[in-house]
Amino acid sequence: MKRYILPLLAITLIVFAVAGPVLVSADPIKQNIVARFAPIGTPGHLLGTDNFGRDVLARIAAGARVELFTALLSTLIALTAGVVIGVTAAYSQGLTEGVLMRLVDVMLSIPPLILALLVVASLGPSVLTLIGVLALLFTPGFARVAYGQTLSVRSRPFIQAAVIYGAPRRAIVFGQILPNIAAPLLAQASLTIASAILVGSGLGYLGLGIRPPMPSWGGMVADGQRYLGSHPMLMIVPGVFVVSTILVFSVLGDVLRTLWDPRERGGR
Amino acid sequence: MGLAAYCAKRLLVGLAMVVCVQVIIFLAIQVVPGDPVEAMMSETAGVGPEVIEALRQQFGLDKPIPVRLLDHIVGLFRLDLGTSLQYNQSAFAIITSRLAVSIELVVLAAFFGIVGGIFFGSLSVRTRWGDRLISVCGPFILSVPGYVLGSVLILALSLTLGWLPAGGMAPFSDPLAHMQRLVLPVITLALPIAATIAKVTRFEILEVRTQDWVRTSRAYGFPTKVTFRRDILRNALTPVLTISALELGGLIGATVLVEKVFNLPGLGSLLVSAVGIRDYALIQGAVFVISTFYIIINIAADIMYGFLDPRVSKR
Amino acid sequence: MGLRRRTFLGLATAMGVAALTGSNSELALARDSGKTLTFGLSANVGNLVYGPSRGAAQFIVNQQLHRGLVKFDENGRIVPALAESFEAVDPSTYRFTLRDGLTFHDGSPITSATVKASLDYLANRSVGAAIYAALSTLASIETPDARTVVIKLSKPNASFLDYLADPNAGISPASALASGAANWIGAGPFKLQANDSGVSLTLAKADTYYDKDNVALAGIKFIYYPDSTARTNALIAGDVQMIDFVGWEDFDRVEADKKLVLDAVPGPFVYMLFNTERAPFDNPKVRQAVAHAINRENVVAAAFYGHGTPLNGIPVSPGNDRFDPKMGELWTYDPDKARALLASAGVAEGLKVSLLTSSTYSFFRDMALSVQADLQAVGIEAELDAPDWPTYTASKNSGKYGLAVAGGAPSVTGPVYLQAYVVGAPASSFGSYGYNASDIVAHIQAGEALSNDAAARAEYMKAVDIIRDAVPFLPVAQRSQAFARSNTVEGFKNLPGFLSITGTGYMLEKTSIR
Repeated sequence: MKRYILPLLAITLIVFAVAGPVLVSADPIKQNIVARFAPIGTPGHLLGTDNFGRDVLARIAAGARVELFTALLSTLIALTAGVVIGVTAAYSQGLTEGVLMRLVDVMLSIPPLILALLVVASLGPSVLTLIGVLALLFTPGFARVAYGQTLSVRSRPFIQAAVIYGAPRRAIVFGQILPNIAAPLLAQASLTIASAILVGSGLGYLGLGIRPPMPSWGGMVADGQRYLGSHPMLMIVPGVFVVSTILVFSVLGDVLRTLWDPRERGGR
Repeated sequence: MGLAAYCAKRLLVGLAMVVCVQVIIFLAIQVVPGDPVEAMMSETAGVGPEVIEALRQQFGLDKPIPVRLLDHIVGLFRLDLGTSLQYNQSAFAIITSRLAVSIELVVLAAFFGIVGGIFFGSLSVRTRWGDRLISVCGPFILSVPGYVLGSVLILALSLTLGWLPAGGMAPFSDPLAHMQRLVLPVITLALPIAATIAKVTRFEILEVRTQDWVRTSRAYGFPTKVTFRRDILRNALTPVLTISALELGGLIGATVLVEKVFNLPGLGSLLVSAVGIRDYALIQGAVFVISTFYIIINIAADIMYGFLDPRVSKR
Repeated sequence: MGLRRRTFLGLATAMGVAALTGSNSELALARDSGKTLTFGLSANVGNLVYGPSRGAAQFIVNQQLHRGLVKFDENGRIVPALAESFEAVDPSTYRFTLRDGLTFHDGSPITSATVKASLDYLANRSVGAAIYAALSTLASIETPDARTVVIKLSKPNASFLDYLADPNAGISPASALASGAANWIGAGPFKLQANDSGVSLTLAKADTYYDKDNVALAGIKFIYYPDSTARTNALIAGDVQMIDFVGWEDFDRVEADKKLVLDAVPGPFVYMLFNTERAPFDNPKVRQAVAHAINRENVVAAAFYGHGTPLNGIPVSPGNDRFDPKMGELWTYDPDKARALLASAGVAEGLKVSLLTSSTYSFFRDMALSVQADLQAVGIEAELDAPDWPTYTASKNSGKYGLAVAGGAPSVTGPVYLQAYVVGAPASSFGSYGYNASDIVAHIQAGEALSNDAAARAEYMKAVDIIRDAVPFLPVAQRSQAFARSNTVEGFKNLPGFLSITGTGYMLEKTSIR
């Protein structure tokens, strides 16, 4: 039973993201300045209201969608792009390999912060910009994992045999290599979702998050930080959601990695 | 190909990468809207386009992009990063002064993070409560955004209890004040490093433990403690330290959130403010320093591998 | 404040002499063992150049290092500074007599020729000087002797002395009079001791200052705290003794601390801009509709945490006789009227516009959010565009917006300040894109030329009447501007109104630490 807890929690979060706005009837962007800073437990505002008098619970529910959508989509894009780069590099070798992997190195050596700053400065803060920035930041990591894994899978006898027997390249990549590198990539993806939420929150703190008034948990934590002295709940409530979501996905990633890597399985 | 040739090749590629990063950033800044002169004059009443144009000419911003790019790359080889528009000083001098703060912060945080991580990592293998501690606290620490942790530390230790200053920087000439101001930011940065390193340490120890020589050592009847220290920990630490070095390379310039919360004048906040006013020379310079650090540490790690594993340099 | 300007000119000479005789020397002796004030400053001032304005933090530093012919006193009046006396020979001619033996921090003398060189430099259009508006009508500067400066303007300007008291109008040595040249040496009460780039600025009391006997502090150490929360934290933790620009959400925290004093006044204002070259805001009726649609109370509550004053007309300086109280009552919050105006302008429900703001300042963003909700209530869908400051500035100057949020901190207290805000961009970067304000400017200029306050007021009112109907810019709220300090810091006062930004820095030379 214990091993199902994490995936179940992750699924619960995703369900909350999809169905949340249906469960919570209040409008997340409806302002009511008179009722601002209502404390937790106020009738009609279970988790209180923020500096615009907007219902915090409704914003958490709507924010879940934005948060998970951004994290999942950016991870998916980064995963796809990273796999294409990594597998191509490892499979083609020679000049293509050198150029592609040096390009990945160049990407990694550019400070992530400046990438985010420049992209947001030119496109303005929005959900799409945030997804783009995060995807850009995480692609090199996936490329490296995919590259390393492909190299080691490639040298295994069954692939060598397939090459000798003249199997088409496409069949080898899709039939043999991808299924064999999927597990570590999945683990990396789960960790990346966690990082994406963390980084997204940090960007929100620097004013580089998503376009207001759309709520995001990271942005709510960042806004709440200003009121830490007077209304600490405005940071703590979304903070609990951010931390627990990151927790679920990063532990899930670790568990996936353990499943794939038999060395860790023996445990203590 | 010998080791020397391998090193030379890696360094050459590294240099090309540094230049490549500079060209990418230079072109990216040109694409980003917003003009340094316009931003600089945004507080002055009644400024029209003719004033902006005159100032642009004076700062050489009216020259064509290829000319400015070439000027910049040539200057780079003479360690001339240009003049900062905001500070009216050589960008190099400003960056060096900020770099000192960043390096001090990162080195202290890395030191405490690595030592603490190795300690708790090995503790987790040997004791049950250590294991619990790592499996519960580790992921939790890694899930809390740094600026949240920093804000909470300030609220608790500085504003409520009054034990430590709330932020800022004191000069080296006042060592006590200097150290006091570093305590909270270093804790904030070191905790996630410690959590990561503890995880890696634990993983490596578990792996080393299954090796033959450990079993042999045990079979000879050496005490568990001796076996652990001499045979397991020492062998497990090599990859841990390599990973630590690589983490360190990426950390310079990545401490911006902590710098902001604690008002520390580091390289990260310099970069953010430079982008905030489109100070081209400062942006290019800060990126130059940060990316060079990263590339050098990676090359060093690669060469180490080449040194340890001759097969790498053959490829 | 009734004593302002011309009526006051006659008294100035006498006051200047009184200050010179050092009637306060006994008091100064008692404070002679001065202390250094540690000041948490809201922005980095790593570089001073002569002429342009670089924001409130730079003003405060300028006012310690530099001094002009005149300055503001603690009541917001213009008093002699480097000039020991001044008089208006006629409405467009001013004569200044310099104090004897004036020098810069480096010991070099200040004569009438130095003053002329400085003002001539600022009158150059391409310098982008903050006080260019006043010097654009400069006809000549004569220096009959080493201590006399006679400034002739091509037409009368009632606010000329206000401009000369601006923090960016100090007299600087020849070495600073070049574009990009450093401007650290001045004639102010403090001189530069150390410039630790990005961290702090250390100033020491200057022995060359004409009024040095009344300067109580031994020095000021400015430590930069760009983050507003970090700045307040530093004050509460006792790391600094004083801070500027207290964040509105921190007012309560400072007031709750018995060891601290919060000094808040109604300060600069926030306003809306329109792109008048494009539909729908090329139609004055639509602009009027916006003026009636915005709930200013909500803006104050949301963006300034309740610490501000809603504006229903143009911002009026307290005690300035040239304003008519009616100028502050032009529009009211009336969504029904807004809807009716939109209907009569032929604007359909669900009109989509872009609302430009900046993510750099949270109050800019919060104000835009509040306005967005108000506009939605009258059937306008405003989509927020919130880039960083340089992109925001570029979009504003090139008209890439429908509506925009902006902030204003006029450098003069008289109605002439309106000129920079009504004249449209690109000619004036503070104004609505593409707006032609020649009729409003004509009335303001006519008012400036009049020396009789009542007559001038009538002329300004004509300009404001046009503003009411045409809405070239829309003032929304005056924000509360606060300094906070430890209760051991004495003799400091935050000047009310626009002077909070441009005049308060002058108060530090009289500040002392108990």
